[in-house]
Amino acid sequence: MVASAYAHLPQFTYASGSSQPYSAFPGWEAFNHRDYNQAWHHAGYTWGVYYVTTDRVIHAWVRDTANPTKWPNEIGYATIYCENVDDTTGTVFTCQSTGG
Amino acid sequence: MIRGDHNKMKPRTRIGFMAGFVTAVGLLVAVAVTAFAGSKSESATTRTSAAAPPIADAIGALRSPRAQADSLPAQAAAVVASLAADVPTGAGNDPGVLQLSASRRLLANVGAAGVDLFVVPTSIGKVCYVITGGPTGCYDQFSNGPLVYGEYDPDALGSGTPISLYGLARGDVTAVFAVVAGKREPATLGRNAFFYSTRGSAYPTAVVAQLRGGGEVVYDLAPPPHA
Repeated sequence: MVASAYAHLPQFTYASGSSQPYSAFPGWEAFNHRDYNQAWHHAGYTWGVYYVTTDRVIHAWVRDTANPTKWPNEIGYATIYCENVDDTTGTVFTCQSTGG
Repeated sequence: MIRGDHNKMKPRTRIGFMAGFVTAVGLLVAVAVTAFAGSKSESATTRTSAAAPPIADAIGALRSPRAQADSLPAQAAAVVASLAADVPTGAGNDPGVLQLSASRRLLANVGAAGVDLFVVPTSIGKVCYVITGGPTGCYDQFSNGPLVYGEYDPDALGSGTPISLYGLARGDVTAVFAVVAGKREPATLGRNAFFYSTRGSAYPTAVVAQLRGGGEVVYDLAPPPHA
């Protein structure tokens, strides 16, 4: 994790809809400062979120049945992913971060 | 007995599923949740059971006297408060009103990074947690057995600070183990919460809850993702 002097950018939704288990949803291939990464989903099913840096290393990975599944801490420059691990409900999910 | 809601469930003593997938990023994940009932017979539940009580009712620590150490540090309070901001519409997303003044510290100075785990009840019976320097979120029920749980790695996955396993436990849980490389490793079990840090690049493949009376429940875990 890299704390930085980057400007804090607005929240945006980078993935949303209905999904099947064993799916990962990337933010578009853009790197930026990120304040947090979170997935809203059906409680009780496992979702994950994580950052990927330009060297293709995963950072700040969390996987949880809590809703939201949230990594609340910033990273200096990364793209974003959320993942549906075992959610079979088809409930609409929303993955959000900052930085566009 | 724990009853899941997945395909090809076997009756009564063992019910579970296994699956794997490759994602757009080359991610191979297999996941399984398997529940066993030992000598203890337990009421059947499902992940979405409407009959399961709100999780706040099952966390006895929330009804214990509150000490000064149960107060949220400022940064942790800000993190928890963020859970109620800009909540997207959708069933089950609303955490309710966070009752920050009722927080409890369930674990102190645990794991490789010496973190604390706090919980905050909400007006609708959910319980939100925050791990200092780590993840946060809200649970609504013990809908799939005696544990709710997660895993995280705060830095580069597989290096630096190792992966940790954490969660909340019902009051009838007497011990929690992480299964790492086929061996059971005891987790720290505090007041309705548990925590375990692996070593090196190892990751847990299951978490086991032992119950008062001798039964146990095993939750198999998917391997971490790969970029």
